[in-house]
Amino acid sequence: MVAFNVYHFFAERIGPCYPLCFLLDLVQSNMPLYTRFIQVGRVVNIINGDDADKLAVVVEIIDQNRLLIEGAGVARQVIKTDYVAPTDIVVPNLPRAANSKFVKAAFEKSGAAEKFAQTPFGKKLAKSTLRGNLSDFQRHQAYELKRKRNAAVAKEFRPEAKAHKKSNPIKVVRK
Amino acid sequence: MHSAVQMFDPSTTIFHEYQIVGRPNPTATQPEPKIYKMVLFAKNPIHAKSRFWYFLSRQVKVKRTSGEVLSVSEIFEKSPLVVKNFGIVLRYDSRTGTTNLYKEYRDTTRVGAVQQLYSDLAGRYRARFRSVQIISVDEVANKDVRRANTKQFLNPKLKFPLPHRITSVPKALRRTYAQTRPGTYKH
Repeated sequence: MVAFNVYHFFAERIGPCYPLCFLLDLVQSNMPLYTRFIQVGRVVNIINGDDADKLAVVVEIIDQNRLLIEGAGVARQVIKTDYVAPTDIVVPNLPRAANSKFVKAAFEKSGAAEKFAQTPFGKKLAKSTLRGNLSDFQRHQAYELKRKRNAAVAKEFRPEAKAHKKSNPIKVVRK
Repeated sequence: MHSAVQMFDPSTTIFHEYQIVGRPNPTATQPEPKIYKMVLFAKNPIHAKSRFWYFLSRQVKVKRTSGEVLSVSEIFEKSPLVVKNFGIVLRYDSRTGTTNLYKEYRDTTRVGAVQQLYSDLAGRYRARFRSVQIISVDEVANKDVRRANTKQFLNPKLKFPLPHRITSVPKALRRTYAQTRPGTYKH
């Protein structure tokens, strides 16, 4: 109830863009505030270092700042929690500090990589990797295609845009 | 940045563990003097030798000028990818007196635990390297862990959120203006 009142207090005055409001929205809807926990079995995306953009699974928690991780093509290593982004995926029933063979098998079996590719995070990452690996000519091709698409969209909506402009003329106020 | 290779590459760790063997110089009266072995943590072999004479001269009547170092060898962690609890017993000289301490750290290596110890002492007690004497560094079984801070990480079903995420942006990519408002809440 307090959350509700606080939300409306700010929403009325500042509008729904107030930075706290999205948190209060969650409180009101009884949604969990956090879903991507650091835990053994959590699949993480590495965001820094030599293995950047690869997937790994948390094998053991050293302390609040450091984890032991391992993945397909990622050697078992100590990593700072700052250097990983937790995903929505968890490898089920992974015991703490399981041996390398077990972890690799469980990681493969859970299909974490495929599941991650389906998530918005995975899709965004795949897109940015693809964009990053384009050659100069391919970038030019993408530019041309985008130009054509925008032109087609503009052509389709031209009558509507014109009508809108006519019915909503820009009023220039001169003093 | 902290890949496995870099993390355990001895050249990048601040402290190293050395085993040093030395003895007083042989003399006419003592042709076969007693040999002493010591394991200590230091930044480099030269530093280690210096510490060796410092500790030895406090226990035995020898000094650097009348003794010799027979060997200095680095000790490497046998299982650098296994997480352990380390209990460290030490004494340190504070501004008012000398205090004995027991501290616990979770790490994969002894050297890592010692590194944590020196940063911790520098932060909490303002104790510098010169005023700290490590007495022992021992692996502690989960059931024997004493400190609450260490105990909380032993829960087999441990899980916690990352409530305040500040993503570091490489210097080359930093801009005065951003397309999106920065935030620290990332689920």
